Amino acid sequence: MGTQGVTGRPPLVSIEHVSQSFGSVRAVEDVSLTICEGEFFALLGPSGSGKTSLMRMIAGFGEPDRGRILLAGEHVTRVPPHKRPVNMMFQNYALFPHLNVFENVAFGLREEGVPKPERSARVDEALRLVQMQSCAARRTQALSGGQKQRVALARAIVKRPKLLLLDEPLAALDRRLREETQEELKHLQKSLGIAFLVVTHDQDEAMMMADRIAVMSAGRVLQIGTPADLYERPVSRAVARFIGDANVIEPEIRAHLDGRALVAVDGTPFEIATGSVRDFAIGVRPEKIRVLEPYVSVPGSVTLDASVEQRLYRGDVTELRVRTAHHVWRAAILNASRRTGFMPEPGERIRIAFAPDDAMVLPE
Amino acid sequence: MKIRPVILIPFLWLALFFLVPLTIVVRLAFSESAQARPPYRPAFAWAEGWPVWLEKAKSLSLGNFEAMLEETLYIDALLSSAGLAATGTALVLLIAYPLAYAIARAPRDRRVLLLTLVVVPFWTSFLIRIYAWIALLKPEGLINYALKSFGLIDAPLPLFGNHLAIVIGIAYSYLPFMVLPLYATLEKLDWSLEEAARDLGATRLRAFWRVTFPQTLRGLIVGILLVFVPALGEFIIPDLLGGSDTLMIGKVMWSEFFGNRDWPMAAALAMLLLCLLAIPLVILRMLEDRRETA
Amino acid sequence: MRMSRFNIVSLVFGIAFLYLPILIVMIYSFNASKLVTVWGGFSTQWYRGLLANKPLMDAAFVSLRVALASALGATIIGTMAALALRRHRRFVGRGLFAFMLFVPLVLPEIMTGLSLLLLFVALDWDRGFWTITLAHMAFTTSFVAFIVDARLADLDPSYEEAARDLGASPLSAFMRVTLPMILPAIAAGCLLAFTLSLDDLVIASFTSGPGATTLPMRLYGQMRLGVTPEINAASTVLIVSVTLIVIVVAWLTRRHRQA
Repeated sequence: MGTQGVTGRPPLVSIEHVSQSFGSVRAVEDVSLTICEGEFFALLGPSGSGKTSLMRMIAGFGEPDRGRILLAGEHVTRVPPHKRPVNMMFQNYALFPHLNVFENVAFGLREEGVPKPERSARVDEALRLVQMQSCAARRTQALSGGQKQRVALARAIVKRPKLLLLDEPLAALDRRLREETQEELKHLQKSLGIAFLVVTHDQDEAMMMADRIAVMSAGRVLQIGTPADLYERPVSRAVARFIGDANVIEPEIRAHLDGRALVAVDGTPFEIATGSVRDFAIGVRPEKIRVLEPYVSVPGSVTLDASVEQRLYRGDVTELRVRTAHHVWRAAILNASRRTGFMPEPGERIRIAFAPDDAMVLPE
Repeated sequence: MKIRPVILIPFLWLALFFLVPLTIVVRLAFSESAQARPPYRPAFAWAEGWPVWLEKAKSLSLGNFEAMLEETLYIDALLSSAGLAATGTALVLLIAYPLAYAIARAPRDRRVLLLTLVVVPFWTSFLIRIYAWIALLKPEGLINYALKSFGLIDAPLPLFGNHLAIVIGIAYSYLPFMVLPLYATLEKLDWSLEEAARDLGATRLRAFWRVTFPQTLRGLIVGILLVFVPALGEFIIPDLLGGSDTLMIGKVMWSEFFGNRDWPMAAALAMLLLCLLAIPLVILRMLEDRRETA
Repeated sequence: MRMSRFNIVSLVFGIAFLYLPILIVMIYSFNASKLVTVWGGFSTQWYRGLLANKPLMDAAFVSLRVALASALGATIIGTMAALALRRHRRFVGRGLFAFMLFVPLVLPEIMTGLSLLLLFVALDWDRGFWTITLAHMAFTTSFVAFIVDARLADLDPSYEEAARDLGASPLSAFMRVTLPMILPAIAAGCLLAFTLSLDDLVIASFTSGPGATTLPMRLYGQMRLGVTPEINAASTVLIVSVTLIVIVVAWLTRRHRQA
């Protein structure tokens, strides 16, 4: 399940069988995961998946009904937020309106009792890290959204927490700013060496920034792994569909032998490696499907006759929706290969092909 | 359960200055008037304790309440108060609704200014503003004077010392209490709904009536309660703007207390008024609860 | 958004209706003639008479002291009550508490005045400055609580959470973040309590005693006798001073406008 850190560093946060309910609503259901020091971790899931509740429990807002949370080896399950070495960047930034930028960033240090000169130095350093050093005296109401975010970030990192939580950090930004901020956050995390935990519903965000991702749905963790793990080797139909696009097909399972199975899709048989799994679906990524003229054959690939139902131009790729004997597939063709490749019209008869190795086994 | 001072202190204060006086009023309502200081013979003494109270409860002096039902004065005053308060509320509504609507439709940066304009007179003395109407409504007052000099009337209109004056007074004083809740609901309205109605063929008026108005009912009800309930017990307005034949329960209570020195009677009237007020207050409470759970 | 004619007319009529009586009083306070309908020329004689009017001045002084004292008390208790209600969802007697707190907002003054006087009689307290002050505190507390409660309802809880996340204990988070943010509402409540006290006639009449006659009581006595220019002058002074206070406070709290 990928609980070992990618960085190979010791575990920092340990969440063990944590559950939380609000009345009759089960927000978090038996979740266990580990975040390692210096890791960029993401909790990914739609709204209602429990990711925010889980993050808040790590921060100290709300207690689990069952299970425990350990931070750097210590039980923090019932420790109040102001005593935890965890800091949060709130989704709405929550910058104190009656204090200016400098005072906002200094807030946490004042609570710690850090003496004035050191406080001043650390605030300056934090502001410089987020490139807001020229705005120290400004009132927070005068800042733009992106600037507010930097100040919120500075306010959290100035305390040198062991773990920084970021609640949907890119949700409020426009596309261009989002991409810039993604890179900056990644860069910042590497240079600070602090573990980051990002909560997001945007899978592109999670894939681009995180070292490891935990996919959540309805309060449970579906899978934990690196972006590549999740994309190439999803463990369930749900994960396959959630991360990227996938054609999820229920194949006809004909036989099992020695860790391999003989299956058939649309009447065409092929073998795939299944390990010990008996019952499963097949997932094929659209870009792994080759689109060919009707009578071309590709040895070693699964080839199916199809007709094109719909064609969607998307700038860098063209998506084709095609229909085979029993299923509807989505294929993606890079438009750059247009000149050399084959681009059918809707209504045309074609052939699609994919390598058996590209078929993902989805047990759940 | 922790005892927090932030809850305890206000709680004790409210108990002392709200509950206790209420129980005293109840006790007084069942007492008899007497030539004494204070001018009543209490129905029971505090020191007597529960058992004695229960005993006495069986033979309480309902004299005050009987007198209330016998003397038409009190019933008349009650009915008259209800009527005047209702009419006043209707007039407030007539003025306040278009005003609140106009402010809600005004350009965003003007709205605060307009609201302030509406609220600022409220900060100035209630007494003075009612007094100002005396100068306007009297037979020799400004309104009659203006109408006469424009040749619109020969004899002065009876605008003072009657029901009309009281209704105008109520409408004038309680205007902000109706404008603010109405504005609060109007401001949050999705105007595109009214536009959609007009797109579907409704005239401006019908679109307003069938789409916008129902959405403001909540604010409307709050406003009506905020005006009607205090207006029922009004004293200053009927005293300054009314005449000898305009009855309002507030005035009657005052004269029973200060004029006749009949404290028990005044207390009994207060209890009656309270019972009457309880109805709209309970309605308000139910609406509040529904709003909070919605 | 263009404004329709109907809306503009409503606005003009509504606001004129509100201000006409006030303006009349103010204008006629400068009328040399005693009659409302005759303009005898501009004069400030009535104002000069005001200062010489000792009972009036004494009454004004009493009103001021009562208003200050009761506003202070009402602000403290009212703010506490609003905090108790908003931040503690469950405690014994919460329903009763809310009822006791907000019912006085709509209760007719005559009821409040009567019941409070009876309280003082039962406690055998001499009526005077302190009974009026306490009585005013009693009824204005609800107004302060109402305003502060409305502000607390609007307050985004993430500010206080952020403070706690940054290392502040719950008490410190409240004092350093929440309190400053609700201060304008508390100030507004205090101002409201002050003006309500200054303005009150009915409750003061019930609960005052010898030597503690308030300005409205004094004015009322004279008003029953008819419209006189002295009252106009006194009224104008009151109107202008209260308006000035409101403007100053509004300007001061403007700088703390926040989400």
